[in-house]
Amino acid sequence: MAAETGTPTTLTLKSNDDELFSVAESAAILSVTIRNMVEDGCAGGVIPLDNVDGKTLASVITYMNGISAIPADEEKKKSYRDKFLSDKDFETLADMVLAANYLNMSCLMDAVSAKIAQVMEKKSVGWVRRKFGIENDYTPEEEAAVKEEHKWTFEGVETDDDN
Amino acid sequence: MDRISKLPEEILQRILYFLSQKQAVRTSVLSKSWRNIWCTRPNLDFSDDTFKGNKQYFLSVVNNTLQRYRDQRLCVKKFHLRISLGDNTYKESVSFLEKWVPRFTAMGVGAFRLSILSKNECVDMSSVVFKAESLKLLRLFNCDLGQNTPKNIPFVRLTVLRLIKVLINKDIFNKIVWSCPLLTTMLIEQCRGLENVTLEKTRHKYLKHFTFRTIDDRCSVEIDILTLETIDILGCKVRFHSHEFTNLKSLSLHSVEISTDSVEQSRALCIDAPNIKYFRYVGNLIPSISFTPTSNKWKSSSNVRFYIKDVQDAQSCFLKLSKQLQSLSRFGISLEIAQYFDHNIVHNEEDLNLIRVASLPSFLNCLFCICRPKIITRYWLMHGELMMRETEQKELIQYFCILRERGNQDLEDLRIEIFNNSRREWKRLRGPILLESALLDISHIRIRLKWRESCESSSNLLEL
Repeated sequence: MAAETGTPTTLTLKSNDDELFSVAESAAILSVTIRNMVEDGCAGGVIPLDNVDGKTLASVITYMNGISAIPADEEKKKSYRDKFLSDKDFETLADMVLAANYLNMSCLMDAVSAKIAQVMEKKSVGWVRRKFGIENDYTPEEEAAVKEEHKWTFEGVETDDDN
Repeated sequence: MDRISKLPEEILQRILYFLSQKQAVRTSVLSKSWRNIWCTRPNLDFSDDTFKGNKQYFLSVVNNTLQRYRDQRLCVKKFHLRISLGDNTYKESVSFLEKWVPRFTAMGVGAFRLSILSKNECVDMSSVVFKAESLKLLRLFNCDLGQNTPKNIPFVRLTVLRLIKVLINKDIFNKIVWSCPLLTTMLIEQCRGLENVTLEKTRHKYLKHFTFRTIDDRCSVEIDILTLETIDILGCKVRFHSHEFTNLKSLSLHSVEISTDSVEQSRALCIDAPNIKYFRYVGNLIPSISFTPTSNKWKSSSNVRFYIKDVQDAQSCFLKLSKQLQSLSRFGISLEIAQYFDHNIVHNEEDLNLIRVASLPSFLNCLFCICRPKIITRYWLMHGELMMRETEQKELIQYFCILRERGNQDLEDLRIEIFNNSRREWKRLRGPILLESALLDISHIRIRLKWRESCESSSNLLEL
């Protein structure tokens, strides 16, 4: 075990498109999935991550290294997360949230979910549909009925700007 | 199907977790697959101040939602409810609260934040509040906590307690706060019946932020907790049992009467606060507060304000002020000195008037003997006679012009700046003469002084 020898251990992760990545064990165990594998002694060779592609895994590893380099200071960690996610588009965010879910990394999962929620907040139904390409499969009557059921959420002004 | 709708439900749930109640419910209209995702959201958040619709509708939405969660045995990890009581719906609201709150324990509510604000009459909320077992935050405004408290107060998880204009006596208050071992924040503002609050380190191990504001000067606060980060006290007697505040970042004392246990300096308060970042003092007496030399991380944001009500004994006043400034001299100080026009004027900041015309130049002469301010700002208040203000303005400008021309051996540079009200900007006044018309539009004058390095600077910023 790494902790016994005192030298930093490196793990090799393999994405589903066969890309290999080296990452310090101390950073990689932010993922509970990987941590469990290490604890079970399955981390000797290459760790295959069947649900994550190379591009996303590279991004997740950048995050793992970045966040584990910050000492226990929740404010600094939060600002790192904000900065890390600031330039990501929705497609990337969706890949990341799926990877975070698979890797069982609650801090990344929460940060990405909150970021997607932030995009939806205070926006009209029409805006959210357009933004995420959600197809409205309700008939006009059905839609009116659902709206009527939750009519309190449709009172007041809607913000529809694209900012 | 689009990307977001295809995400697994546990991820969509997580996204919805971060939305407001309103936005989360609205997602049901997006498409059929979104219809019921919000329905099992583990957090509920209802606030009537952002609710569009009348109170009855609000009550029925909350009631129906809670009923559904209860019927379907859904888990509520977090619940926030903010409700104001007023007009003709308060009885209805109270009876709903009496029905809802006891159910939360059975529903497994983890963190419950409750705010009850009464608009008109002081409403007895003891029937509701003492049933709220999972309470994490409690905020009450204009409520009565009654005379009959239960034997066991169930607030074991309470971390934030805010009581504003609450009718509560000392025994009930103590009974409550002694039952909250995890309390981190306590705010007590204008609570009737509560004349004394004692903070003991054995009872409040985690308390970090303490605010006590009152307009009743019979009130008193006793502090014996070393771990506090924020202390904000207004309008009462305060007694410090200890002087070492290792974590103290912000100390604000406004119109307080300070006493300590210290034997050798019976009237002085010496505080050891190595991490202090902000200190604000407002009072009509010059206090004897000092910070021990370890308190040296003080940032320039510190703000010291003195209201000097009575300057009949100017000599002793300046002596005291000088002593106080010296004890704080390592730090950037913003000093505000005010004198009431008339002692009967209400203690309201907008009604303050500043040093009277006749005393100003001599006052400044005395002031320069005790400190080296870098900026002096003089505020005029918009009420009062215009003529007076003009005379004052001219006199002040004249004083500084003379000072600039004659110079002072320690003074390197002096700039006079005036604030133009209509243009909302500071403008440097170069010549000695100010146009009569320009005077009409001035509310503040600011003087920047640059002192020679050799002279001791005891005060960076001085506001008059």
